[in-house]
Amino acid sequence: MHFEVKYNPSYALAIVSLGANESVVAEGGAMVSMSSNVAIQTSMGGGGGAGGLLKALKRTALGGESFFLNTYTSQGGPGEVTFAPTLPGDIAHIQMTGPGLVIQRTSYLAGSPGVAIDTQFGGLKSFLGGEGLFMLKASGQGDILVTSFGAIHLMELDGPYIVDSGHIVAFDETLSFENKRVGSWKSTFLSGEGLVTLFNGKGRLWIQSRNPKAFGQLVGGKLPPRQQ
Amino acid sequence: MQFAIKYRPSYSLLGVKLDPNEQILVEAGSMVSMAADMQVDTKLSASGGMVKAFAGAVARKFLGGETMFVNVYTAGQSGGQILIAPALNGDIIHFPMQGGRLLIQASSFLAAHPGIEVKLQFGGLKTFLGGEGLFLLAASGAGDLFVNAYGGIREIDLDGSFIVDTGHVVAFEETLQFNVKKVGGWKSTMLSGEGLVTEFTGKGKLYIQTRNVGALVGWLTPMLPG
Repeated sequence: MHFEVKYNPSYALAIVSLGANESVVAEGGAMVSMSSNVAIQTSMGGGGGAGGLLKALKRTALGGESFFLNTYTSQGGPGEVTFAPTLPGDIAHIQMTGPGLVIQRTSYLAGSPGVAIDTQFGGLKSFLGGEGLFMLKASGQGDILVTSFGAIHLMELDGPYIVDSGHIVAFDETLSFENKRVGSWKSTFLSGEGLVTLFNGKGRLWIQSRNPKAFGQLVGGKLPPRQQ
Repeated sequence: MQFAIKYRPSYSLLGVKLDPNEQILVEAGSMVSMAADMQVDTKLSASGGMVKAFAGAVARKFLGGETMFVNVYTAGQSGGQILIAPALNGDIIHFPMQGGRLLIQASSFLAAHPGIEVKLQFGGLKTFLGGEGLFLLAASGAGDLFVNAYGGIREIDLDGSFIVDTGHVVAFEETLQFNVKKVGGWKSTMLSGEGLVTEFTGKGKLYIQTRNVGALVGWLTPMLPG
């Protein structure tokens, strides 16, 4: 399997070259194009079969988003699949070798089958920053592709650091994290920052240079009310 | 204060390194990340007396500015870094202010050294026609000022007169005179797709953005389900 990212950072496209009978897993809806010998199989995130379906439904009931994964398999010979996220931005290719990776749900794009995606990670704690951010945990060995709105900025943390949760893409699970309000209560309500995430420990943190919710609220606030 | 702007022009990200106890004023909602010992205080965006400040902040909120508040970030004892980004895709430019005044389209203000005074340009309200128009902040003083745009930023050295679609104005030097007006006759105003334009005259620098938020909204609106 070979990964290539083109047209970055603004309009990144991931090109995945598969050997015969090799597979790549991707978020539902991310596929742009594929060779005609590539077959798709859909499963729920968090495990296959009836148990996976139950977990997906439970997640929906708890206010999370259902999370479908597609497995693309090149049959009888090599093949190519390309993936792109919805928003304009970059794609980072991360080699997973040791510790797991925590990924903001909408930043997960694709990965090799050896990487397990756990949607149950952290329970309610994973709803970061009160912004309804749902976190996934990737573990195992292999490749993973994460996406951003805007550019991806990699930081090597060693000690406490604060991030607006709308800018989180992914981070090493070696980092601890907790929600925190900004400044005094006045700032919490009026600063436009609301809750932020306080990281601590040593590890990598990928952030995005734009906040999808801030963009959506800016543009959405200027749109006419939806007709009922 | 040291700074660097990365990922220009599409997704520019401003990184500012503050000295111990140094401060920076940042548009509300624009902090991306920061040192954990950074202190935050929130204040009304227009400076001056409290009543005037509140009136200015409210006017800014309802007449086209983004927010009523700015945040003041203060670095800890050993200094600290803050990353700042606007909501829209586009560039960030730096103005090393040394006296003089820069007029800024309200939603383009991003951040400033506390030595810069940013206040509502009340004359700017006269430039409103039918809810559309140019809503301005005036920045004066000395220090670093950061302005953001939707799209790229084009700098124009003006000497004479020049017409800009009002939705593309980012900032301009106070030496320029400006007048918001309709384009051509009423027929052109209604049918040209240009709406309001701003005519600048005089000698000075003018900064325009290569995309227009109003045009994006105008494009999206008919796409909404009815």
